[in-house]
Amino acid sequence: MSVTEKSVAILNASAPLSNANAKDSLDIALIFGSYEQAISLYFQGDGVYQLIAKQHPELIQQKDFLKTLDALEFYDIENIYVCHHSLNQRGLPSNFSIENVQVLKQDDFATSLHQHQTILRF
Amino acid sequence: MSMLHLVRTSAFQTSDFEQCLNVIQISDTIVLLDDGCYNLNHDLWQQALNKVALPALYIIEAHAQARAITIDKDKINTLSLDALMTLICETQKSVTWQ
Amino acid sequence: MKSIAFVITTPPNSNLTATAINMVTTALTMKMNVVGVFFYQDGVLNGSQHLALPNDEYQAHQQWQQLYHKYNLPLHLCATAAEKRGLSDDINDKHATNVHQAFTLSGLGELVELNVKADRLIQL
Repeated sequence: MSVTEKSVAILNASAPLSNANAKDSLDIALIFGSYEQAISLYFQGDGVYQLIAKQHPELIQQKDFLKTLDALEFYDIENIYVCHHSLNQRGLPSNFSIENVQVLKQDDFATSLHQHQTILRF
Repeated sequence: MSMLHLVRTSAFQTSDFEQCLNVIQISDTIVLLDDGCYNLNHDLWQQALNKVALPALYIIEAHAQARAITIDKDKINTLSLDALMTLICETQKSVTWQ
Repeated sequence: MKSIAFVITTPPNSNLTATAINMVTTALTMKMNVVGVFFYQDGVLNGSQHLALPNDEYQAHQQWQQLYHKYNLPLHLCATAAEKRGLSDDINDKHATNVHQAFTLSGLGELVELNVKADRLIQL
């Protein structure tokens, strides 16, 4: 793989509504996607809350940026991975607001993350 | 492909270090810096010793000294910032836990 | 020697920023090719022209400015993050400008460019 084909992983570790990490991270994902860079999204820890369906950010004066997750496929961002251990810890079902999400066991999640040249975490 | 983990927060306050340990692989390297230095005396440090061998565990010496953390050579190696930058070059990629 | 780029997300009043500055300075002193620094989130506050820290405190913003002057180090502030935090470099209105001249407002595309150019992208 040449330098110009570096693949990028974004590791999302923050719950979506109290701080801007989730939105700032999504903005970066969409930009890398629009520049046709290979990019994969990972959700671990409280980051898994970003993918939960039926959230209502508008009730607490938040723009519903989570809707933007629907746009990921139009940017060819199709590699979306969720840590099973993190879901389990939080008692969450594998029931997400978007399709194409792969739930990975801890070891597989780690192996997959290790395949990228650049990792950004928010 | 080995990965360099830059740990900048205390596990007594956040779960960043625990999440780091959940994705760590045997060929990886851990560097404790900033408040991450406090992890040396956290129960989770034993997991770091088990999952990654002692030669791949480092703490930034000045950051530990600044916090009055005693460095036990059986638990970790010290690193200067020069050596850290060299390590960053030698390791294929890094992830920052902060 | 590898080329390296940095993403900085911490504000000038955080000691994490002092660590970042020390790492960037070390890389430059070791003659590593630092292709640029991209400031994101609260990191953009490092580029404010109006920071006034007490004299006996660490002057993070001045350290960045010195690195720019000494090494011609490209310092990019994410434009969207900067505007959200009241920073502007409107060239048509000198009075509205409050970004220090060492810094450039750039789009997120600049981060993509830096990632392509650098062998290592380090987030701090």
